[in-house]
Amino acid sequence: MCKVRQAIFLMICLLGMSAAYAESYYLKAANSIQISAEKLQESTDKVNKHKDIKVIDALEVPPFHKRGLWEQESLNKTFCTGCHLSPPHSKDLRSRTFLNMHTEFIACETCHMRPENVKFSYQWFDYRTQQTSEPAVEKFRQIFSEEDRGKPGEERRKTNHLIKIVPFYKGEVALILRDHDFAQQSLTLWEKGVLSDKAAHRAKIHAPLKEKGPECKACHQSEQPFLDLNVLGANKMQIRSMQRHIVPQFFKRYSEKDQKIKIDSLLK
Amino acid sequence: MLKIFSILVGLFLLSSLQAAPRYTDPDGCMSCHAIEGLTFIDEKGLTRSSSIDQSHYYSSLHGSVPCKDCHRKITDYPHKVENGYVDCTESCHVEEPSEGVAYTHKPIHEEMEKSVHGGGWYKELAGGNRLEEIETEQDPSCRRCHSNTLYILESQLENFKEAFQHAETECGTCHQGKAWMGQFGGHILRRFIGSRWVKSENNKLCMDCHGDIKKMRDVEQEDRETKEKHPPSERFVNAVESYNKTLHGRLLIAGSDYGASCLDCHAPKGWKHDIGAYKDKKSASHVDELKNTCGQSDCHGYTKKPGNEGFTQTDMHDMSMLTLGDVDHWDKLDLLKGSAWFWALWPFLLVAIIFAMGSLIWWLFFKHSKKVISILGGSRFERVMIGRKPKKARAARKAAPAKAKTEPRYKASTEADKVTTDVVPIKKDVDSQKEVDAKNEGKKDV
Repeated sequence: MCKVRQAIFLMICLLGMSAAYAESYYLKAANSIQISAEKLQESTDKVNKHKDIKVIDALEVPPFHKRGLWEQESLNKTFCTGCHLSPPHSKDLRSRTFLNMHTEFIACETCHMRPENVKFSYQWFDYRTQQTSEPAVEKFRQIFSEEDRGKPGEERRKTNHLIKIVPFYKGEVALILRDHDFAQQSLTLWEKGVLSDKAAHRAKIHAPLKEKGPECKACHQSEQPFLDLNVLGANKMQIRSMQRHIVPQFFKRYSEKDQKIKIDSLLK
Repeated sequence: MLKIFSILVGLFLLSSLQAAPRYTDPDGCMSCHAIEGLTFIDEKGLTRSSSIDQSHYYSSLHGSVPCKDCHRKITDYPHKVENGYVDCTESCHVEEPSEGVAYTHKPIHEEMEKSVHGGGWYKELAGGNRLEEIETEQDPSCRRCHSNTLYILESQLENFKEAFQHAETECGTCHQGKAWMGQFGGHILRRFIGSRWVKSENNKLCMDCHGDIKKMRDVEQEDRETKEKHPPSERFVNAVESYNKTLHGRLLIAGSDYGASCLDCHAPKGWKHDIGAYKDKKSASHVDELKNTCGQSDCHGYTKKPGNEGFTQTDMHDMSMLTLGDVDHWDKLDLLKGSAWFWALWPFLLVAIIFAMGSLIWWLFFKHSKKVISILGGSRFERVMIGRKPKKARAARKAAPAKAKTEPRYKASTEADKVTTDVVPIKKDVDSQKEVDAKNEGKKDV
C-alpha cells in the first residue's frame, strides 16, 4: 500500500513539475465561463462597497491568555490572498474561526472550487517551490501519537503553512499561482483600473468558484469523505480524530444557521 | 453484614474528607478553545484569536480557575461579547488555602481605586475592547500590567523541581499526608524558591508606560483637591530617565536587587497598588512620609532618627542629572537650564566656537599665504622648521643688506663642521704630528 502511494506521489511530482507554469484548470475555467449580467452587477456592487482594512497585529495591551497566534504566512503568497485578507473569513460569527483554522493547511480553491462535472484529486502542494509535497503524518496538525498528546502546539506542530492541500486536474495543479501573469495583471488592474474593468475582472475570477464551501460533514465523517486522508498521509489515529471531531458534531446537532449552541449541553 | 456496612460507610466518609478534585475545564470550553489557529480579523482590523494555549493556561497563575469563573454569563455559542466580559473584582471558586474563603482581587482594586491610577478599567474586559481602552483611557487597567503569566516562571522551574523532590522528606517530617502536599505544598514551595519577580521586572511594568516620554507628555493630570486638570510637569514626563541616573536605578539596571524599585518608594505597603502623588499627604513619597519610606526594613533605617531627616531630601528624580540625549523637546528652555550637563557644556562650547572662528578666518584669508602668525612660538617654528628668519629679522636684514646671509640651522651646522675641519693647526701640534708619522714609517720598514 505504501509503495503504491509512493508511486502515485512520484507520478504526480513529475507531472506537477511541468504543470507549474502551464494554463491551469482554474485559469481555463475563468477564461471560458460567460459572465451573466446579474453576476456582473453583483460584482460591481461588491467592488463599490469594498473598503480596505488596515490589519492591526499587536496592541500594547496584550491578550490576557497566551493565544498561540499563528504566523499568517499565506498573506500575499497565494493568488487569493493578493486581495483577500488572511485569515479570510470574518462575517459568519458561528463558523469564521473554525473555517479560518482550516486555511492554514487547505487552499481556498480546495473548498471553493468544486465544479460539478469535474473530478479533482487532492495533494499537498508547496507554494514556495511550486512543487507537490510528499504525503506525511507530520503535515497534519492533529496529534501524531499518544506521546504527542499534551505537548505545546509549537513542539507538536511540524507543518509549514505554505504547504497546503490543493486540487489537481489530470495530474496538473488546478490553481492560478501568484507569479502567473494573470495574477500579476489582476493586481495591477485592482490598483489602477476603472470600476467597470475591476468589476468584470472580479466576476471572471470568481466565476469558477462557489461562495460557500462544503459542509463540515463532507470531511468529518468516515463514509466517502471529501478528502482521502489516507492518500494525504494521515495515520489511523489522525483519521479517526478528524472524522469523529467533536466540533462538527456540535454543529450537526444545531444545523439551523441561527440556532444557538447551548454550552451546558456540549458534553452530554 | 454490619461490619461490611460500617466499612463502606467508613470508606465513604474517608473519601469525603479528601480535598474535592478540581476539574480545570468543567464546562468543556477547551473542546473548542484548545484548537489552534482559531483566528479572525474583526471590523477594526484587529487580528483576534479564540485559541487558548492549553498547556500554558494550565501552568499559569489562573490555571486552576475554570473559564466560567471569569466569563460568567456565557451560556451559548456564538458568545455574545457582553456575556464574556470579565470583572477582576469578582470572587472565584478557588479557595484561599489557609482560611478557605473564595479568592478575589477586590481588596487590590479597592486600594488601586484610591491611587493615582484609580480610573483604570477593571471590569467589562474582553479581548475585543483592548483597542478602545488604548484610545480612550490613560489610567492602566488590570490587564495592561498583568497578563496570565506562568505560575512557576521558566527561570525558576529548575529550582522548583529540585525543591519539590525534597519536599516529601523535609516538609513531610511534620506535614504528613498527601492532602497537605496537594493543598499547600506547591504554593509554599513556590514561595520558598524565591520572589516571583526580581525588582527590575517589577520596574518594567511601570516603565513600559512611564518610559514612553511621548505618551507621558499626553497625560492629563488632575489636582485632587481643586479637581483642576493640567498638563504634566517635565519632572513627571522624565521620571524614568531621572530615576535611572540614581544609584537605585543603576543598581537595578546592573542586575542587583539592592536598589529601590518604583514600588519600593511609591507603594511600599499593602497590595503595592496604592501609588499617590508626592503632594498627597497620605502618599509614601510625600515629604513628611519619606523618613518612613526610606527607613523601611532593610533600607535606610537611620532616617527615622531625629537629625537625619536631611538624608531623605536627596532628590530621586533629579532633573539636573538628565543628559542632553534624554531631552526630547529642545524648545523647552527651562528643561535645558535644569540640566547640569547643559551648563557643563558651555566652556567646551566657548572653546569650540573660538576654534571654529579661527579656522574660518584662516580658511578665508590665510589658506594660500605663507605668512605665519608669530604668536605662541610662531617665530621659532618659522626659524627652525621652515628655515627662514622671522618677519622681524627679515625686516632688520633689509635694513642692513651688507650683513651675512643667515642659513637654516641644518645648513649652518654643516658649514660649521667644515669650518672645524679647516682649522689651521698650531705649530706645537704640527711638530708632534711629524714625530708620530716618523715612528709609523719606521714600523713599516721593520
